[in-house]
Amino acid sequence: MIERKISERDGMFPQMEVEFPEEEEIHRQGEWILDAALPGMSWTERLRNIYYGAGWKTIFYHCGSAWRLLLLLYAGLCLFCWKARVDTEIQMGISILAFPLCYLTFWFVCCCLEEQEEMVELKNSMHYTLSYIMSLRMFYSGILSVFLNLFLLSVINGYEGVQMWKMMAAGASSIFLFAGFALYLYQKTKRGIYIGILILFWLALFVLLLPLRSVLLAYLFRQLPLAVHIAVAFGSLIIFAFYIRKVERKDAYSFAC
Amino acid sequence: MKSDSQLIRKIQHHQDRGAANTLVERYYKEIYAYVYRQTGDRETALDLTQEIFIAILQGIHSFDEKKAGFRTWAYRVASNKIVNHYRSAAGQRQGWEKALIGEEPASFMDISELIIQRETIRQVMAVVAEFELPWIQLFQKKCFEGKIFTEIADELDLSVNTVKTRFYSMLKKIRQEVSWND
Repeated sequence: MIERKISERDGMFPQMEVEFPEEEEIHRQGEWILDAALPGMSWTERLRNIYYGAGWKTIFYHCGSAWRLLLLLYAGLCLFCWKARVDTEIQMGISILAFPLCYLTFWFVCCCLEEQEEMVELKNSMHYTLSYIMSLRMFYSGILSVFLNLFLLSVINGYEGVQMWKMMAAGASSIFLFAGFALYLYQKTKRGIYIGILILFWLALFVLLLPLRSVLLAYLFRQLPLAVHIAVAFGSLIIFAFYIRKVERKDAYSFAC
Repeated sequence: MKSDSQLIRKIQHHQDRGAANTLVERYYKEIYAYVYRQTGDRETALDLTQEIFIAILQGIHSFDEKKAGFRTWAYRVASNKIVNHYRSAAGQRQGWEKALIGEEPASFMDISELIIQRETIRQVMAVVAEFELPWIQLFQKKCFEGKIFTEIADELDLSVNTVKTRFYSMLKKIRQEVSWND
């Protein structure tokens, strides 16, 4: 009794004797653990888990205002292009500047909504991490943005043929490249303000490049073949999709630990 | 024999069941003993150990060996699960009820006596679970991982004096609470 007494300075504590289970039981426990933790999953099930596991309601929870703002921005763009009957160069400029700008604004507003006080409780109770939910949100809104761009270019601006596809592909590339970069920023910082800084950076870069617009636009939309545009757009989409997978694997189960 | 890092990489990249099995077999008894010493109950220890390994394997993609070794990480997961167990209503109820209907009342001599008796360890841990997580980790490292104050201070990034002060205040609180229940 006394010999077990701990040293007041820095002694070691005695340890309770452990009643270990039989080897057979340990083996059975191991099998249960592996079945529960690493269930056999087909390739399609895994894909579904990564890109739809959370479900629409979770992915797009509390972002109705952001959607309304995005649609308003697009409506404004449509109205501007239709009323002002702007020249081709400006329309090309819009496809380069405005598409990612609308998209990043949507992301920024989503982040701001998430940072509101009343969302804290929800965030803490979520099964998935916010970076993962955000990445899925941007993935689906990015795809929708590409279709909105297509609508804007073809119906409102009257583009058709190779020129329309080139502009659409350029818009898609910029959307998914920015999405990847914004996701990286968000995952590292967990602050929406950095997306705001990215928007400002993109605007500043655009203003700086304005004097070179004729050369750049001619190169992008006349010299560069359509195949390159489409390859870059697909490449950006694939990179972003892989990044989402990485975020899911890195973050989705951290709640368990 | 493959190192922990090699096994973890195989699980992370290929969901390798064989590697996962080896890792579980390698640490099962150690983690089970750690849990058993803090619960004093075979069935609870089996259930919690199972939960701990499931959490470890499901969360292995977030494991970063640059931050901590696998053993340290596994103990942290185990520690969190044990604390959750005591903090959950069921855990507390089970702990106190079982402790109160023990065959004989625990004779309170010293904290070292309390943590090696199945009847009293649940009382002690129920008191410990009321502290904040860093304090609980300190207590677990000292009492169940057999670490000395300087090691704990290094791991928790605290001064040795802070570690000692916190530890002895916890002992005082445990003495008050557990003796009061006796």
